[in-house]
Amino acid sequence: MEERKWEDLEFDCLVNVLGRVDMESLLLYVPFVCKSWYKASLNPSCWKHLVFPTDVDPEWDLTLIEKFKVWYDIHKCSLYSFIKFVVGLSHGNCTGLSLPDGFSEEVLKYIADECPALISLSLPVDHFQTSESLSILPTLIGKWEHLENLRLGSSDNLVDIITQISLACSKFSSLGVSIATIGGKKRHRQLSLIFRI
Amino acid sequence: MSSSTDSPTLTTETTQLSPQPDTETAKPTKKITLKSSDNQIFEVEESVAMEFATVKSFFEDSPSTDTVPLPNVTAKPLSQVIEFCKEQIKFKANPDEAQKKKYNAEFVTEKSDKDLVDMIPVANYLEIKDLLDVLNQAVADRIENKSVEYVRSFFGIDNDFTAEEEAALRREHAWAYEGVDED
Repeated sequence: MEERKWEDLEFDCLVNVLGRVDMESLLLYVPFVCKSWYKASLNPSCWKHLVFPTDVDPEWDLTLIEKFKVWYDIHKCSLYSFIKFVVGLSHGNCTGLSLPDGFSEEVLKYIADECPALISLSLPVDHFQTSESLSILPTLIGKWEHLENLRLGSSDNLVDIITQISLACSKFSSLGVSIATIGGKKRHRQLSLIFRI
Repeated sequence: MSSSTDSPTLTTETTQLSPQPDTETAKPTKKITLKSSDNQIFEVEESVAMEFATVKSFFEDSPSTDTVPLPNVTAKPLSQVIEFCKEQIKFKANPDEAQKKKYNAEFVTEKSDKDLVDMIPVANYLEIKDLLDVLNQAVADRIENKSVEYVRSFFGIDNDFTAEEEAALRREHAWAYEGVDED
């Protein structure tokens, strides 16, 4: 009795599974499972939804970027080039992106140029080291004409951002703000706005 | 685990349902016979069989046949796939998104790793998109952050890399990465 083997599973079906796997597995483990999985892991469809983890793995006491360095024996590894590398694997097909803490203005600019298909963008809650880099966000919104969902870590430049959204993103539907400055005080609460433009 | 005796809970469940006329039994429904690769016969209602795009197109091509051979499908995953599709037919008749979500979640939760892994090629071959979505998500969740060895044994995959090839793969990745890091 001949059963179909996972190694021979149709390529599209395997890519469909791998597209749902978390970033760490896809980056570190999936390529080494076997040759057909390695080939499938290079397909841009596997990299459409990119959630950069921000927390440290308690078992390893390392962040993903640190694990990546160890795993592939890479010496020099900035957050910018790591994000660039992973986003580059999507070859412009990325539709959902959640950025880690500490990203720079360059990261946002790169994403604006390389992710024209973006539908959902999520920026980290703890943005203290990145708040300055966010000041260019309003100027970049226009590059994401398919954007529907935006989650911000702060309410900085909110008016400018909303203005740009209303000009460029015709399908936009929801905006979430994690930390809003209301009446000069920081309120840690979720603000969600549903849009109808 | 034998289902030779009917569970009494089934009858109580039926009485709880709203008392609407059972249109399914009003007209005799056509049965279709599916034959697995290990020669087991499954008699299913036409509406269930039509959930399988592969079977549906088989019938469109040769409408006079009543037995569909499924040479790539063994009995166990096929019976589980049929079970899933029977439920989906009920949800089609009485749409209830919350109940459907609950059923789909329970369907995969109670399955072993092997059951899920065996069902995916079947759902893929029979082109049952909803089931494939549910299964693919379930296995993706189960291999989250798991080691290479774990994933291999989960799917029953043999490592076809030599040690040299594996080392070359790591270097290749590092080179690709360092190419990015130039600027």
